[in-house]
Amino acid sequence: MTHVLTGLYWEGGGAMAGAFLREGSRVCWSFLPGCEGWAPSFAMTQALAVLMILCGAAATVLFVFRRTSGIAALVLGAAVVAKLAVFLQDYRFMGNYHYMPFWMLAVFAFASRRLEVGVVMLGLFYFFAGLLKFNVEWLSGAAMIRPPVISGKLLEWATALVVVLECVLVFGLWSSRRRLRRAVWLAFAAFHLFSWHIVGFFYPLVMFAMLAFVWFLPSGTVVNWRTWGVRDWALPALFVIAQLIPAFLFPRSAVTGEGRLLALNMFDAKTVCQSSLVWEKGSERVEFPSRVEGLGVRLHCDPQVHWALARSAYCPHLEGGRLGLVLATRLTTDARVDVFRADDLCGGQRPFDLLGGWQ
Amino acid sequence: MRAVRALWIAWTLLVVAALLALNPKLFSASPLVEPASPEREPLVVIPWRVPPPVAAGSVPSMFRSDGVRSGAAESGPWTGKPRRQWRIDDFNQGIHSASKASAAADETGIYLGSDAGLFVKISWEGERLWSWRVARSQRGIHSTAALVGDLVIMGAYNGRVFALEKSTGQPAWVLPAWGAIGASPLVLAGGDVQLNVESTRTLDGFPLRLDPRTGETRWRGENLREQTHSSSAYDARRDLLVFGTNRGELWAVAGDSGRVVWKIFAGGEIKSTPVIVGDRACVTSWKAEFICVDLEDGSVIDRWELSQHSQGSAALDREGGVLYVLDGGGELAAFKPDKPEPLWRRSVAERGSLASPLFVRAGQRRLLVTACRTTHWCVLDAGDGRELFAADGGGRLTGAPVLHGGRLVLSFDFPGGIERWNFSAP
Repeated sequence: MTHVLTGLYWEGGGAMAGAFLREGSRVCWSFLPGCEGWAPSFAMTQALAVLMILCGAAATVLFVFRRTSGIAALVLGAAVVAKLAVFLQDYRFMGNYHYMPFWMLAVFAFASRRLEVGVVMLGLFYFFAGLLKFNVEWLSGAAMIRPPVISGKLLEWATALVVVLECVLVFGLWSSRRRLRRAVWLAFAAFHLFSWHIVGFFYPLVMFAMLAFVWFLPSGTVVNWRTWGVRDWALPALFVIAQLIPAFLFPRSAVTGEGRLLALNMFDAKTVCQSSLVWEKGSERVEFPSRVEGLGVRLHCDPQVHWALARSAYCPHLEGGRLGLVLATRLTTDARVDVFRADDLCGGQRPFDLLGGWQ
Repeated sequence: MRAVRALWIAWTLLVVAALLALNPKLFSASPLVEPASPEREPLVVIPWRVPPPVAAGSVPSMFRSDGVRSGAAESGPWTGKPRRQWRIDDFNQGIHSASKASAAADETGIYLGSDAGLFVKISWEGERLWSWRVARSQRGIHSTAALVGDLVIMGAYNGRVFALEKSTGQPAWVLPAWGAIGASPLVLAGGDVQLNVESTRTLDGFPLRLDPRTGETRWRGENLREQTHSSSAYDARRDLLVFGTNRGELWAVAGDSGRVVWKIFAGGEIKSTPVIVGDRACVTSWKAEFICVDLEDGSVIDRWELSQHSQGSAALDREGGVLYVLDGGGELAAFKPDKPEPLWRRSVAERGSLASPLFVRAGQRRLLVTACRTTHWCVLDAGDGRELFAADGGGRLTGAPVLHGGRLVLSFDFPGGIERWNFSAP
């Protein structure tokens, strides 16, 4: 179902999704440098998105019936491949609404106790998302990307309650008591419904698509940790490690963008930034305008995006000289500024490692 | 099971404690963080390199000569025969009809921006030493740069403030301040820079004080609710900055904090730069008036009629206490505070004149250098406005002449260019 939603988002609701591929610029994932050389055409990409929608819809129907579940798995696999073929083309596709479904798919593919591990993964999604919200940016309401219908002290209370929901009440999803589980489920449903007017349709619908099965779990289901094998423990353990890596290696990843591809990105980083792109040739200097436009709050200050778009826009047209970039970024509630510099965009080495860390 | 429950309770308490620690105002009426508004977005400086501190004793250079914006200069004895040394054609492109930037100057050369967004340093011999082109500035560079220590600081009409190293043109920092900058920076004692910025999307602006070395904001003043092209004049005795807005208001803000001390409605848009004369600030307006107000409270003390609205700034003869204004009707007049009638008035230029005159004490002579006729510049006797010398610049002179060490620099609108003259005897 998430593939159907993703396809609809890319084709229709997410204007950026089409626009930036159409214009031919590329921001490669840090672990896939040189993607400009192998990315398919825009027409091919659109075809892949349509294939993803069709396969996703077909798999959803086929999984309803036990006797077609084998075929359903194959069709779902095709949907996943199609999605990856689009997703991996450009870093600007990054987002929790893809990150989390990929993890759930991995649970479906590899875990033996899929329902239990799925519930646990969902709980971990919310729990670590909640941990990311322990900061002034979120608790003050300043992180909202659009003004919510509530404001002032009511908003501060609401943001605090969300943290309580995600970090404390979330464990109710793992309860064997159906009433408790459904009560917590309803609380999350209300949260996602409310967030609709702030984040749009796509994100809440993806969460509902992942949450849906929890409502229908029969009473008495227990997450029986003692019976889990390696295949069951592996994915939750990997997920936890993936959240911890940026926390230890890149403590300011919300501002700098370093390591963000490994972990969840939540409303912890409403950044503001300014960039200066200067081409220097002898005693002449020209400041070029930034090519970063129309991106959401998670990406508009990401150095990888600024670096890649400046390179693709200007380097093919410059003869000689050096093109330098300085990007200064800060949170709206914190005066501390992080500065990213690249002295020679056109000739120098790629200044990011595989995790997007600055070099 | 009990252990799990106890652990959950402990965790819940920890979460609540952490929330209260991060938001101690949760149960109070005041917000955790003051909500930001689009008109008060945080300013982010883009640092390229950290320049050395401003050397003690370094003499700043700024629009209209000094902090009071006297528009005055001194030179050697007047010979009556200025000589042109060189001319650079087609500097301004005539992209807009507003006044063009004037030059800043020091011993090593002149610094000047064009309406096409090109900023250059030119040696006194006429050689272009370096250049900087601003991005996405449809109206280029309006304002006159200021020289502070080793830096030249200027604002462009794309709203960005640039600090460039004087010797090389390399950027020290860039500050995207807001939508546009039409005013010229002022250098305060200690080296801080003050300038006024405006929005291009709304009728709004604010004054700003910056650390020249890093571009960090010392203070950002109250929003003006109108655009401003007026540069601030500074009264050191009261630590007061005075400037006008397009709404016709004259504002006075404290130099150390940006706090509004007073503001008055002058009756017509104020696009020029005030001049501080003793205890008064004097400024022209689009109401075709030249007024002087009391620096204590902004009350109008003197009021003179002009032939037409004016956006040129007055020049000041400090010794004589006389102010000279070229208005939009092309009339040049001399005024003295407390005297209701001008000392003299003479038609020297065409209608639509935007320029500001330069007062020059050349030995014993008191002279005015100003735009005149259509595309000429003239040297006039400051005593009665008689023309002593005239030369055709090929384009309108809309900024202000600049005199440095006997060397005169003029920047003309298209199809004129930049000219350097030897003004007086060494």
